[in-house]
Amino acid sequence: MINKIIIIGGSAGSLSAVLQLVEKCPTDFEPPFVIVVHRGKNDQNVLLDLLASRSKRPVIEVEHYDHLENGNVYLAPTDYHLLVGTDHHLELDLSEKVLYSRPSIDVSFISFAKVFKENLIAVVLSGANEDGAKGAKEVIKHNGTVIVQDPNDADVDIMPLRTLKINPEITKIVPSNDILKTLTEASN
Amino acid sequence: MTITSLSDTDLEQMISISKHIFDFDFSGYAPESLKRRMLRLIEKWGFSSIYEFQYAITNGELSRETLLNEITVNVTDMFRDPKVFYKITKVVFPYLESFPEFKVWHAGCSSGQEMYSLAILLKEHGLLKKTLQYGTDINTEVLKTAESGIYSISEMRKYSANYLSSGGQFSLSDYYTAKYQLAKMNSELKKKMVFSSHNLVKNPSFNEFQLIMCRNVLIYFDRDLQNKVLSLLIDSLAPYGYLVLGDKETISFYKNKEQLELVDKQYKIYRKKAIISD
Repeated sequence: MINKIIIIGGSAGSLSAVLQLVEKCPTDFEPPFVIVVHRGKNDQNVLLDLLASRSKRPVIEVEHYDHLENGNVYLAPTDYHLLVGTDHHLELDLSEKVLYSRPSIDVSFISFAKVFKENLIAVVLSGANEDGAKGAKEVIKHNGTVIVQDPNDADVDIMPLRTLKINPEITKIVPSNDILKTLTEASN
Repeated sequence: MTITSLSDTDLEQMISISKHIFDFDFSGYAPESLKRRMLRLIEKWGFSSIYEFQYAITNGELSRETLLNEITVNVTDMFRDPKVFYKITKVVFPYLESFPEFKVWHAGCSSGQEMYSLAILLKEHGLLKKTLQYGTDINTEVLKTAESGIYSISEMRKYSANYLSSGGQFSLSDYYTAKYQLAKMNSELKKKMVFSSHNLVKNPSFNEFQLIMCRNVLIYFDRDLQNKVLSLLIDSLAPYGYLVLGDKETISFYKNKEQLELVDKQYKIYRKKAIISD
């Protein structure tokens, strides 16, 4: 039974924040992480290997119809959109890119917001486009929580800035060092 | 105002409309992905209600092919995921070589790029003459493209690098003739290709194959339907025949998974065990 769940969206410049978050997260942290980041087609297993070597919790690159479980870290595979169903199965979707991106952070945020509503915590990290901003709006609409990496702390501030611009109600704006603390508080 | 989200009930209604009017049943399709595709169709057509969708279908404004095109058309490239092709030449080709002739099934072949890709590699390994390739899809429009073997020239240029990463030994441009903006695949490649409409969900097995390629087709389906389609594919494999799935598809929950041996985990290459007792 999933009580809280955390979805993390990032693009250019988000790698260090993602790794830090995963590395610091304790073994007994219950809410699953779902990581949706843009990465090169030739990345192959680089990110997966990096995450697996840093994380204290199991890291799973999603396969079609995997079922979400507490305590795991899920990584959206390159070149598929990641969706979630009401019974918490994960779907991979090959329909066209959104904002030149697949996986699209917006698409995943919107899908998870509908299913997990107030139990969803979405994190928007560094990035060079506006993917994630619309999705964050949907998370808020469904009473979920949005945490944005402080634009001054982000390597590339476009994604955090854009998210804050269209969602002025967001108050949780923190540097990458404090993201785990903030989301731990939000998930209690 | 266009519909912006679909409830489970909306989706059920759309499935039922398609089933009754087109005799095409989307039940058992992965629901969230199907919702996304239906919604895209709704946006494109500007429907403000499910009734408008029904009306457009009933009045012939939205044809069966259009609906199928929107919902099922798959992304396909020449030598998509070149390493898979490379692996096939290393792992599967030696097995194919042992036959005087053999059959390959591309289940859900879409517009056929993968068939030509494989044909090129088979030719370079001296196996093309022994090959019979079957390409099937539920969508007859894409089959026409597959059969024509004509693609846009800009696409082909993009695929040159993929061809080389797949282990191609010459130049991709050796295998097509360019005319205006189009590239026509050499007729030699398609001499041993057969195309036909086939619905993996409804139609039975129609032959026995030494190799079945079915990549990124199972991701359209929920677990029950994946099970059903996997049964069909495995029933259609010759003893020790190979099955190649998409790299994010899995048989881990398949009811008879012991019928297959995992040959390559990363590229999802499976091999049928010799004798299967029920």
